[in-house]
Amino acid sequence: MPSSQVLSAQDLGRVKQAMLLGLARQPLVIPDPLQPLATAAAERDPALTVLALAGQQHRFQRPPQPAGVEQVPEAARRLHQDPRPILPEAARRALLRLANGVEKVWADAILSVAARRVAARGFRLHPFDLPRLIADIKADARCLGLAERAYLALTASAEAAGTVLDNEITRENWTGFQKIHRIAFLRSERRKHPASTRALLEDVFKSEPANVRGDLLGALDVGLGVDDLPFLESLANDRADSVRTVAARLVAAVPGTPAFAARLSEAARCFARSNLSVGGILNRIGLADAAAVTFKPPASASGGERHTSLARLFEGFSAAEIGAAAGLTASEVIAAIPCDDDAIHAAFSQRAARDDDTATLMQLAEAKLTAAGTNSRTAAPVLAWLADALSEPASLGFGHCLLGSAAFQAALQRLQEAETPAAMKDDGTLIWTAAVLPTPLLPSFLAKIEPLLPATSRAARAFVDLALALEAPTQRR
Amino acid sequence: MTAPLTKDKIEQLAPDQASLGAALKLMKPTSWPTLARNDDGALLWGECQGSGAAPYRVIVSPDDVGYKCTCPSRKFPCKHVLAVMWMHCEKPDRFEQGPSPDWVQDWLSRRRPKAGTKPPVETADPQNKPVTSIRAALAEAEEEEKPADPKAIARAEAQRVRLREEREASVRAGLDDLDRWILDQLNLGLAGFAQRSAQSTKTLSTRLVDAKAQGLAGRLEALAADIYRVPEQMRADLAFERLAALSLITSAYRQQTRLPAPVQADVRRVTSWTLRREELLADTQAPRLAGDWIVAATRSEVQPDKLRRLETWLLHAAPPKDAPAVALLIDFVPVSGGAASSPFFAGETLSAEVVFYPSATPLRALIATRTPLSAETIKWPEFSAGLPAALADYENTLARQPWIDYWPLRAGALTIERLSAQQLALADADGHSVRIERSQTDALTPLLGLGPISALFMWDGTSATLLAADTSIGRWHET
Repeated sequence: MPSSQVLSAQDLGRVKQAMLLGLARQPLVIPDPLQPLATAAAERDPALTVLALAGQQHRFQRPPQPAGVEQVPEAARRLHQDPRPILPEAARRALLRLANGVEKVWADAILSVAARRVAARGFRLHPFDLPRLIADIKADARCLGLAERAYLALTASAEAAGTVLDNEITRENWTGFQKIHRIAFLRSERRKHPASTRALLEDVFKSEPANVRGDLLGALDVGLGVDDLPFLESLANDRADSVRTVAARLVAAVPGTPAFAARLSEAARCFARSNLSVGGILNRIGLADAAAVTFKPPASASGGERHTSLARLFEGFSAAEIGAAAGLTASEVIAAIPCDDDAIHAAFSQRAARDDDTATLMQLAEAKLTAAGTNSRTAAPVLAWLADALSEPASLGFGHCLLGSAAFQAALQRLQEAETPAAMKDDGTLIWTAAVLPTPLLPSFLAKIEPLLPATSRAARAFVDLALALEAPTQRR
Repeated sequence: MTAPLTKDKIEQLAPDQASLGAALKLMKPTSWPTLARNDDGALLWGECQGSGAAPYRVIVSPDDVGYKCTCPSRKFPCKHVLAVMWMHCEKPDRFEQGPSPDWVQDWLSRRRPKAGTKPPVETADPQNKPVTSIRAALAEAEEEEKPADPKAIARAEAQRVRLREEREASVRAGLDDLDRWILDQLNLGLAGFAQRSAQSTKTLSTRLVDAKAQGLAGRLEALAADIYRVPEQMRADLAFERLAALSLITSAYRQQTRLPAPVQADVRRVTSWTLRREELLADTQAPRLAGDWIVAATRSEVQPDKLRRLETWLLHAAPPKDAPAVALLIDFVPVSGGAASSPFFAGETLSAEVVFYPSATPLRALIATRTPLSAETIKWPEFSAGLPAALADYENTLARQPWIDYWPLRAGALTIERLSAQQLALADADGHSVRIERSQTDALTPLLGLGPISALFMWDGTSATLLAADTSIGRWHET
């Protein structure tokens, strides 16, 4: 450690000033302590020697103590007060391998599913991994527990993060949470207490900004009933166009209203047991259960507008509602959906997701997979929305159906026979299969993808490793 | 059943005869501290001490002749891969049987298909591929082992001396250029240096490279990049200090014979002279340190000269008193060679003997030998509490090697504190604190409110960059 400074602060300051201004403008005055050294090397310009020594002394100046150290932010404390244990190390490594290996196009969707799986097992993400993962999961409220919300509060805008860092959202604190949480909360509460949940929203509705009002209002699409009509109709003159639009949509979807009944009736008429076939004969002799159910779209849903018309017609309906109106079971209705249709399938799926009706979700997925036949590209998108909608892995029954489906087998074969790097890439079939399969079927899945190149199945394997590590008995809570 | 690799197959794969010759030279057991295969021999892997700081890791899949090596060679397959194949063909017993380590699984999962059939970089047309012969390589090796002609040896030595003298003269001419340039900057004034730095440094750095003073050229290029990484009010000071260091280097180089040997080694290395791996390993005076090491951090940066600099920071688990506690392995790979990373993972532990490049303040090192770990888990070493002692360590180092840009420091009982939403600080229990690089704000936010940590961080005189920390919820590593 240098025991003394060669140059006084004043001398150092003068030397530095001259060099900053420019020696052509302010000639250098060599400080006395440096005179012997600066002039000793005759062949060297003294300014270089002075620069070397003064600059070096300058480096020993410690920077000033930073001012204004804040108190530890409340959010930082809350981040580490999350009562959930951190996920086991093996699961953590698998999750990071998944994050580093998954295709960018699916990263946010897959990592959201993975984060929800971690949460469902009672764990939380390792805090040190939040910077890596938060960008991909922050849009999904289901992934965001206390620690994640606290991290967002520290690094994102207050609006994005919400202001309340309670462990759970409740009727007392719900207005302080991020919008995505509030929407999810309203939907969840509507399933149990539709009227009081509407009242909860009514109490704060006018004080919310327009962009938030419209989205919160949309959450009333769960458990709609005639009791909601007065509130919804009162919004016909709301100052925000978005609110008026959502309100009108919800009014048209309220069961029991003439508009709803008319639309339901029209939609139900699309499904019927055939009278002009063997099925029809069976129907006439009382063997209705064995008669085929067919689908015929209304005349208005034709040509290029077919998808839009059907989407509008079936919006908000469940397969069970349509079936009841048509004298059919939900299963019959689902089985009769045309294999090339997406509109009706999407409408039923959205309703099932809103109702948290996992059985119907899996039934719809199974129907789509079956209808796909050997079209190996169909499985991925179907499984993607299923994984997003489910809060737990699929049932064993669905899992067996999936692994045995022609679409899945065709996808495996296509990947095995691929000869170009592009063709060898997982189109999503593998990773989404891993994401929906129940744990007991994961070893079987691994065996099926064993012949594939490691690069093809890397992300899927990482997801399997994560799922299995979360289930390891020594690491359960 | 795994198809055996034959010599014919190896000859077909070799991109040229030189590769076979080079592979033959690598077949000594001492070159391969690790050589193994899995149960059915479908995977072979090894670690080879190459010219880089860290060993090259090689994987071969004999069945489909797939392979991977971490060396920067642009020949496919490289000499390391050929050596593994050849050794497996001739001496399969040298391969220990066992489960494949994580790095094999990880790299295997990224293996591109048909890697074994990728044509060598230097031979586009298979019909024009040079004739490759194992027999010829063996004959050439025998020829090299014969005692050389004394006259030829003398001629070669004379040429080496002449080339060295020419290079010295060239470097000194480069130093003269640098001194003139620095004077120009002083005359113009350092307050405006930032605005003119890009063009001004580029021209001179090109001349320094021509003068064989690549190290100084690199420093100039780094200055031009770093000047805009600091707040505007600090740029003139940065220029003042960095140009001072350059002036100190030019002066020290010219008077190097008057310097202690380690300082002389430092000034020669920072100017242009590199020590080859073989020379360092053969240097009995070079400091060595064996033991368990924690891979504290891995960093990758593309330099202005289009080389990717790969850093692996090793922290000794129990350094003896006065021995270096931190070792830095540095490898350079061309950016055009594709993505590359340190062969080690942050958080990994290894047992090795590390040899340091001669220096007044040893830091840069190579791995000389690997040994089995002494325990399954390696405890984080104890650090002295508080910042003042760590900052004093920096100042002591600066006094011994005046041109360091940064230095790794260790301190315990620290906390991460917040100065603002974008600025964090490292603080100790007595209220001392230092700023942390802004680029680390998001990554280090989870350490807020965590309680005391034990940290390894780089200090450049004004701000800290955390490399690793031991905390109550596990270790944090910069990657």
